Amino acid sequence: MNSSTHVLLAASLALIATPLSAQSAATTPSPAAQAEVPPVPTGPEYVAMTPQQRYALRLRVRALPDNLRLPWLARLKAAVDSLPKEQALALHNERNRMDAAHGTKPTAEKNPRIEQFNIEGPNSRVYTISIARPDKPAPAGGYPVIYVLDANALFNTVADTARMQAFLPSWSGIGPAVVVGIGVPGDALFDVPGRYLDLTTPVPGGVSSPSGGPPMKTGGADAFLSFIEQKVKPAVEQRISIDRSQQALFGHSLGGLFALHALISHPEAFQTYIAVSPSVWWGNGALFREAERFVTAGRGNGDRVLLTVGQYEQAMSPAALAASGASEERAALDKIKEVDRVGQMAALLERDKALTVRHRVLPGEDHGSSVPAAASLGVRFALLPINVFPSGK
Amino acid sequence: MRRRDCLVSLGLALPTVAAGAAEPLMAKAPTPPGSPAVIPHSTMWRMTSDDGRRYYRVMMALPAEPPPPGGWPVIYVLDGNAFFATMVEAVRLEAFMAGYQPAVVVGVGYDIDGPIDVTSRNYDYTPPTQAPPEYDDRNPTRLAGGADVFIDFLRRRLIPAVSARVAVDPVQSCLFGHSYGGLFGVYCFLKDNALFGAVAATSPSLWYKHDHVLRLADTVLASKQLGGRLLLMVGESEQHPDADEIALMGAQRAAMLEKLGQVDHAVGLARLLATHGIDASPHVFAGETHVSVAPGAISRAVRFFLRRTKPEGPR
Repeated sequence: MNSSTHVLLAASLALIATPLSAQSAATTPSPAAQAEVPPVPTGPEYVAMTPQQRYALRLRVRALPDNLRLPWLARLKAAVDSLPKEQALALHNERNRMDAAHGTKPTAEKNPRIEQFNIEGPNSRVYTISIARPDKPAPAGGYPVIYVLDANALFNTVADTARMQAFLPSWSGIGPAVVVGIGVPGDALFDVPGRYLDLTTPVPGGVSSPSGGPPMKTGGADAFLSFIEQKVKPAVEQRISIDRSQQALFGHSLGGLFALHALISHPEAFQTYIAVSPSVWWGNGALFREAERFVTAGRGNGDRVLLTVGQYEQAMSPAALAASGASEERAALDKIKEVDRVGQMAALLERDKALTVRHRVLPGEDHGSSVPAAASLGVRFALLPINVFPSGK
Repeated sequence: MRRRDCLVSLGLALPTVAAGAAEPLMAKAPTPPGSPAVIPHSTMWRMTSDDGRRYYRVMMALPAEPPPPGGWPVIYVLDGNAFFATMVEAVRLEAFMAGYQPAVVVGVGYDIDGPIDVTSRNYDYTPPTQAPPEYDDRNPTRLAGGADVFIDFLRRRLIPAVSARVAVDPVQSCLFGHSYGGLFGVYCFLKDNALFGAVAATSPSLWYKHDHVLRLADTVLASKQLGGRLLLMVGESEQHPDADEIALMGAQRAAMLEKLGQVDHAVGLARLLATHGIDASPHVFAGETHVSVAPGAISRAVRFFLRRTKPEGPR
């Protein structure tokens, strides 16, 4: 981070009280006593106190509700900031030392930012839902939300990207947003048969398995979208306040195909659709036929659509040319023409003037490496006013 | 799967809690509490600086398979609370999709809940420019100039702590840093050139204390031959925001960005290095800001650090 902007932030981070630990909670007075607000000491008064007195005062203030605690801390911060910098620094260091020594330094264990739970989805399969809670309180209408498919592989990238973008909102223009991952239990990066079923439209006879097993089933996209709408979203909204007018869907590869299919079949389900390297070649281009009907019927309803694709999903990167198996890879890339076809899909959707479509070819990126760069773009696309989203020209 | 003894919750360690697979299905109670999220095949431990003033949370994610004979490459990630998980996913995705080497990722974070510990990193990541104690010109209440102390911590305590836990290839020891972390990366490349085989510095704050590190580079390059590899990256909008971005941040900040010269500084350093035979031509990400550039830079750093050993994997 560039630093000049952090003066205030740093000072407040150094002083702002943190969630109660179990230990300090145990010594907290009764709720009635909690409401008594101690006077804010002046800088010299604070220096004149003993470390134990300062510590006791901080514990009392930490027990106050936010509406009392935050103004109190702002006044203490002003008092400390008015002291010579050596004294102010000594006070910061003392606070850190004592918090650590007394076990009141905030510990992760008591404030899990990311919560996971399992729910049952289509065909009795179990899905793991992850919710990343923002660091800042929800706006009045609830948080915007970004739902991430293939969460086992991609969720943290999107969640941490959204978190960092919201770290300095006056610079980024981006406020706090919830990121929800839709994944599966277990350690595997992808549930390959599961995603070929859930994220696709039907292909007669299924598709052959890369591991040489029986053909994989396809065509579960509509059932999976119903599951998201009817079970995932309500389960999330039970746990955290969501603004239903600011929902985004983020999918990569087959997940990108799914995101575009969701747009076309249920444009009301989300307001922003982010399709990263979408497999638009799926089912002999079935999505093109769907999109053509959608555009012809003028079904766009103000949604935003972002399509990205890596330059090296069609051209060969220097690293790919140098690796073994280059000729097979060349043939596979030639067959699907990913960059060309994603561009064609963007151009097709752009014909519907009621959609806001953006299309990016990411220089130097391949099918997997596109994800972090596209996550950053996608977070900005979902959460920024559209005129601020970089034009990419 | 060693889930119970090898877990890190995201920025929030809770080693005793099992992950999703082991949890019973929630169906009865209306909103039962979930469990904290974990990254598979990962672990976490805490360390404290020698002077007792900075508290580290070290996060380490391992490949699922046994290590190769020479040990794993290791990628150390500064500001680990913010960037560790993204690096882990980028490494795993590139291994799966594009056949890059698997690698150990070590997040060097601080023991806080937030993503960035502005106070501790201000000391650890900034180079000394005078006798201590030294403060940051732009943030006068923050101690600065601890980069040598931090290098010593990495060499003497952190890197051995990693090597003690997992078989690592010392030749493929890599460092990623962003902003002040990028400044540290460049400083470390110049000052302790052999500590890492490759350094990726994103958006390095080279303007720090009147271009101190650029002047150091002049001196160092005149006196010794540097080894290793350096990747410089920066977002175009860090210095040249477009009209809409200026409207968002205000003219005053835009003028400050122009003055900081993030792109010019990176280009200038690369030019200087090139005169000494070191290729560090900076990658400038079009349309990306100081913060938005980080995920793409992490992805690019993965391909800079690691070798591609297999053709592209399944779609």
